Amino acid sequence: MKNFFKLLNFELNRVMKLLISLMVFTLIVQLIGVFVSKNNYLTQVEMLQQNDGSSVSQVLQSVGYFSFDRVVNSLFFIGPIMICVAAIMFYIFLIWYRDWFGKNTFVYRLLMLPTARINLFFAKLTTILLATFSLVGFQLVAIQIEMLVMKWTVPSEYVMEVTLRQLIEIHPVLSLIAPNQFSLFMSLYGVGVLTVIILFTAILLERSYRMKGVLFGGTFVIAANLLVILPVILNETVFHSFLYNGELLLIVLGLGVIVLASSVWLSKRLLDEKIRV
Amino acid sequence: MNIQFNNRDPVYIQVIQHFKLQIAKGFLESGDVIPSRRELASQLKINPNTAQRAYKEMEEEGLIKTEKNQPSKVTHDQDVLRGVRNELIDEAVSQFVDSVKSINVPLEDAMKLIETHYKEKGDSND
Amino acid sequence: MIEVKDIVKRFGRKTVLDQVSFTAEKGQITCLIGINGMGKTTIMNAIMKLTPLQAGEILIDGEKVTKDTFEKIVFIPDATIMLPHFTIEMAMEFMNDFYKNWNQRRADDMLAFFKLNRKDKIASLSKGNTAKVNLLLGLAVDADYILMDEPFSGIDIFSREQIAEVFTSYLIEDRGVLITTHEIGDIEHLIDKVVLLNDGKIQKEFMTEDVRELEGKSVIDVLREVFVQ
Repeated sequence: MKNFFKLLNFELNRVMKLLISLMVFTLIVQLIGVFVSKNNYLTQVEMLQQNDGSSVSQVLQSVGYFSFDRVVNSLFFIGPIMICVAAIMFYIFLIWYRDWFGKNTFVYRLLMLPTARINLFFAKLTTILLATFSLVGFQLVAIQIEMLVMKWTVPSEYVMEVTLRQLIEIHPVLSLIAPNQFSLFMSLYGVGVLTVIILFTAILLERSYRMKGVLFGGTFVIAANLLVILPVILNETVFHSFLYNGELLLIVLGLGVIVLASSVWLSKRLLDEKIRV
Repeated sequence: MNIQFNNRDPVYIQVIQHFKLQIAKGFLESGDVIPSRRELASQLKINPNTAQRAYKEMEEEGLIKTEKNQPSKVTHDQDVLRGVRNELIDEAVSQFVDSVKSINVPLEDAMKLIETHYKEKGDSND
Repeated sequence: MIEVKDIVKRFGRKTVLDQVSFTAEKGQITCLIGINGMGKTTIMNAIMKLTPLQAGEILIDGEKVTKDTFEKIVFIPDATIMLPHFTIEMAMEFMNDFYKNWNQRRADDMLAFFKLNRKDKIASLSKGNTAKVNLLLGLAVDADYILMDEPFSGIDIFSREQIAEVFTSYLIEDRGVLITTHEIGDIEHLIDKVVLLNDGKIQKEFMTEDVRELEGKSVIDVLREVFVQ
């Protein structure tokens, strides 16, 4: 256990630079987004006021209030989130492959540590999760900052305030990364964790069997996914919705746990017996 | 202390030989403290196991003595020390005889040659 | 004792190790010699469970290798296996973090002996110094067995001399050392035992002092007999 935390600490240090750069990048680009949307809006307002001599209420009638959802729907806002998502996806692979293909083959050192090798797996898994949560957490904080900036820069008569909760409710991307309902949060992140574990196992299959391993890994990913959603498909086709949704969910959950456990078990075996440097 | 080792004779025997020479030349005298195994290994750049083996053999031959928690010392037994000297002389002469015999040099000629060479070289002894 | 028993390793259809068996004892320096590259490194990797075997087993003091074995046996590969941006100091801290048997006094001794600067980054070191750091990180673990893969290859003559000197010091005293090299000249008179590997098979296993004493042969003489026919 102590070694797990040492490894985790070590892996977190290694990802820290990337995380901080992503956060800074996100905040800067999203702030630019705030200014761009604000400027667009205020230009419209100005044009209306100068050309047509509209009053505030007339302006509001034709272009509406300025609220934060004008910001969140721009590429300046969604772009950085997409890049963060892509970075995490990429890092799921990088976190393993860097140890084999880095300038020095660090995987030797890692595999020879006097600690259960599965700790490497869990440390890397936890690192991915913590990195994801810190990015999501940071995004929520960043939104508050961006809203403040918006309030300072847009005349208050044009501002319509929305809460973070409302924002998440209406926003397709935000509602996915930080769902308001606890159950949805748990299931989304449950699927997320399971996906990372399955991908890790596939990576270890490739690292153990190389070319053949790519095939094994691919097969494993497809099989694991199929198994988890099999009840849903069967219920639709063969059983004509015989099961209630609650029952179906329970079965899917059970299968998910089985897939998770066997994926971890397989990874442990690969790390202990089959891995190659 | 430095020895150029040859690779065809056991290193531990070369180490013992080295000590015997030191004794025969009088550089090491009875009761002198000799380096520890570890020191010897790093001085001669040999494996500590080899140093250990050389010391063990020398102890068995009575050349050196190690008392508990004391550094090893050259033996006080004068007979052994004389024996070393005689052994070395004997070895050298026997080697010489082997070589001259193999080219059929008669004894008298050999003796004369020894005499001239011995005188030519004077008293230098190294 | 490291016991390698009938191990078989194939890469694809190529058999790299064919029923290889030998032992390396504690308190001895055993040298694994093979003319062509393959095989030696694979054996070391297999001992450390860094590559799977098709058959056979490897025992350390009669037991299979587990995570706890890694406190008892360390492997020093021929390339650096520390992160390049680490300083020597950070690398030592890393080792100290994970190894109960890490011995900082030994590490400090070696830093001084090799004249290394603990603030230097690993990536910035010369080849010779990199090899020395590798050696330091391995030897400072109070392990019973040490595996070294080609510690002399590709480095300057003075670094080689310094490294050879390590073999004459307390740093390896009483430990079992298994070393691979193709530059046997550097250490010929230092090694206790030789295991000759050719075409994936063990050709000969002998004590160096024995062949000198009984047959009047040097290690190179024996190699010549086995490899040049």
